[in-house]
Amino acid sequence: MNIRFFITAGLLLIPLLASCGSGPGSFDRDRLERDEDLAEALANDLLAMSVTVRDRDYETLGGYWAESVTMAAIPPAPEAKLKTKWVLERPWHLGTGTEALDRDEALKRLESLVGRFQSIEDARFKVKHSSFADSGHEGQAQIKFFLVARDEQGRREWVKGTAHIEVVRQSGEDAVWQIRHFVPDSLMSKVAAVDLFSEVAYPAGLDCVFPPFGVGRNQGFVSHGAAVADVNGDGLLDLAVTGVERNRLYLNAGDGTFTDVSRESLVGSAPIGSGALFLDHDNDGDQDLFLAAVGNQMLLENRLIPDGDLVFWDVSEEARVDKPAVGFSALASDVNLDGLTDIYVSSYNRYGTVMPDSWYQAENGTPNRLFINLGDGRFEEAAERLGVADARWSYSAGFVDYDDDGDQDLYVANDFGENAFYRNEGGRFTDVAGEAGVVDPGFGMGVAFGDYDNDGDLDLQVTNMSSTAGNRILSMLYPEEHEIRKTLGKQAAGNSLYRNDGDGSFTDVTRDIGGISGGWAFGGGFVDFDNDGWEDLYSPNGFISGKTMKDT
Amino acid sequence: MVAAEEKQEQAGGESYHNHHMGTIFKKGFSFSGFERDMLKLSMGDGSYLDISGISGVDSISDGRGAVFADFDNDGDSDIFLVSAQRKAHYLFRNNVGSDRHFLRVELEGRSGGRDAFGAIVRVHTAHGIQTKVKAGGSGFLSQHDPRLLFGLGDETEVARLEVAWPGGESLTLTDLPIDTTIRLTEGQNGFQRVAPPSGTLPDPLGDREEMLARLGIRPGATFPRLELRDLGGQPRSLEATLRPGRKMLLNVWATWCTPCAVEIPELVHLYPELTAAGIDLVGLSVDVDPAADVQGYVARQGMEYPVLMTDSDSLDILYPNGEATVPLTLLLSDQGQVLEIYSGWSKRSAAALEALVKSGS
Repeated sequence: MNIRFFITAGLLLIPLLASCGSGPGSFDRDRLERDEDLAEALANDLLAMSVTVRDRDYETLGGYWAESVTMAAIPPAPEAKLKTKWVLERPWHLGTGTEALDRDEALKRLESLVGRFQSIEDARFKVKHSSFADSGHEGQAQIKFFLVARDEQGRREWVKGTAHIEVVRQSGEDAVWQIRHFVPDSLMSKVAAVDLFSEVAYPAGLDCVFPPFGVGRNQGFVSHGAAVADVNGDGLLDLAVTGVERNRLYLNAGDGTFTDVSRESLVGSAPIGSGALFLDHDNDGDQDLFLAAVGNQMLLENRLIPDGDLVFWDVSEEARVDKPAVGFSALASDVNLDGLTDIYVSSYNRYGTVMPDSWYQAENGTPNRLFINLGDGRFEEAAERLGVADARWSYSAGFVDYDDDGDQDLYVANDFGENAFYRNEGGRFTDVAGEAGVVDPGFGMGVAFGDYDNDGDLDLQVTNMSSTAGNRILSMLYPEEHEIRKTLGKQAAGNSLYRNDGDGSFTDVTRDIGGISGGWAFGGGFVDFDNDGWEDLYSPNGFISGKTMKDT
Repeated sequence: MVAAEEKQEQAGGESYHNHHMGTIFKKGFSFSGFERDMLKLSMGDGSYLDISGISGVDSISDGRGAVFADFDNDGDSDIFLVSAQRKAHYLFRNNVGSDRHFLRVELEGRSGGRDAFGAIVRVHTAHGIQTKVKAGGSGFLSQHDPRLLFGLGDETEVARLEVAWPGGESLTLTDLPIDTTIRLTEGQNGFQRVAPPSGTLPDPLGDREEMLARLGIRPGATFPRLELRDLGGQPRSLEATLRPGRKMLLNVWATWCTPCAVEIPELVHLYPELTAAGIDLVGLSVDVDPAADVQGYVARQGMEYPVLMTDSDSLDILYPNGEATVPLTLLLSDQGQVLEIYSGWSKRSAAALEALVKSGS
């Protein structure tokens, strides 16, 4: 039995069968499952081969190639030309002819592609789609591949290509798929003139290692958040991190390093939170910390003012925010414009204990929370009364005044379904996601607002998941263009970008900007990292990396 | 049988899916794992250039929340990322943004709360308008720099700045400085210049430091308690293998490891000299595949020193990042304290081991 088939197909086929009453005409579940088994075996063999390419272990690499190979010529790497500041490109011009080579000659050709690098950090060959002969011993596939490396001059280089391959596999348990035909149809690389970013968590004193998921105390796979604010008033941004074992507060020492003050500040003593949010809930001039949590929500009051001590007192109970929720993101905004910051918590459900009642329109999450700040240190939970107690599987949300009427509207991203866009109408909210054009069906994770086209209004990015395997299964179900494939494809297509049209509606421009296939994406959003005045897009991703790169 | 399974699936599929999720992760398989994070560069004409693989932020973490913030106040956005497992914190120092001009805006509100969450700032330059919102939370479980950072590219003038405070009040400013931080307070005209302290984020680690950072052990720490077995499968503790007054050279290896096949004959050769120098040589195989022929390998290589074996849970302690980098050689005190770590097999590590023999204990 193919586990990936059941999970991926579960996400895609169940809505399919529910929405159309029947599957595609030629739908043959046994054949599809067999083909996905073969495709998965091929995908895993290509991943194992990827490691040998990365390590430039040509002897082992040879095991993945047939004794004779038809192969196109791969010209030497062309000179890198400046594309834009700091980014160069190498465009390969590929010929069309192929030659019959023996295995050693084929390996020499591959060596000409990867031999020139100072180092190779990563290599990956992935199956986009494949088909197999009835025998199960022969097949062909369209693959994509990439290398992340440092070139002769030590510059970061990213080679990307696609290729058509034919593969053969002998009988027997240990047999692997071997490539007998390899014709790249695109090949391109980008080179960074300088290192754009450097990873410095360890020397900055922020090193932290969790056990692998599922081991020991690391049992939650989506509860890891971070927030910044200047909590001690020295003009430097400090950092709160949630996720595993305890809450963490790091003070920015100002010399490029951070100090863990979780214990002395008492932030580490509060029960573990998921989403962290700094705000000045009592307008006293210092930054307090709200923690969304699976369990009761928490408010930690910074005693810097008036006491002069950086200590956070847990005032959840007095403040009446100690309400239960499967809380993930925490958001702050003054929704009723009384000069006091209010707090919204997106609430999910206990996945595993409870399963979504639908993969594409789940309604059995838990209600989100809206804490209205009363100004005397207390909050009143009013999500239901004000119309924002969305009871779906909400991961995150974002406040924005999208219609320029001076009040704060609210976008909510839901997993397994449609998102909500609550327009603020005098302190009460109405869902206008449909008329605003931002329903974004799929697996909503994160929400960000930014002006990607510099036209003076705020556009919306929603992080979602994109799945190579999901798309692969879809392409087997629907080899031809098909309306259903498009609809379902949207659910496996990745992040969405909606342009604010300035008239209360949005237009999905994801395809216009070339798609945002950010993988299984969570946070991130708009950031103009190179200060050129245009918002760039960053998206961290990856669901669960196991001990091996092999997928389920 | 089939009917019962279908019934369970229709009833919500709870145990069905849990069973499979559990199975997947226990086996160590991935589910959309090892994905490289994405960075797309705006080309300024509505199009984006995917620069993920050359960005340096393309970690293979299972990234969740991420924060954009200028931690060293040098005028560009660094990125902090939290991952769901293993190396949990990433701090990406921005090396390039501060080469260009910027204007940073701090906000203090009144009608919509002191934090002024939801305030929108528009900056007009010769090239157009930029619009940013002071968000009280954004992305996934995250909150970015509360100050709004406007990149100006090669522009040296800001024609106009407008702030729309929550509640509807607004303010327009001209004659603005650049490459600095200004503070706006609702209800006041004009702005204050602010000079936040700056200090550069450190340089990245070298290879050896990186290797240490990836290991679950540090020089000076006590070697962790692992579930070990001898070649006969009997439980053996490392503590019981340590001998008073003698150091231990613990060589971590695997049958599948190519450099180990070069290193082990060297160690076999050095074994008598090490013993004479007061250093007990012990091998630790990290083969977890039951089919691996550890005993056969030991016999073929003529490894006469004690060899222990471990399991995959212990590997997670030794290699919390999930990468079993072998060979790995550790010098331990008779109390099990880690005195020295030699990673990989190179001329340098070979010379270090030779020197160790000469220096004695």
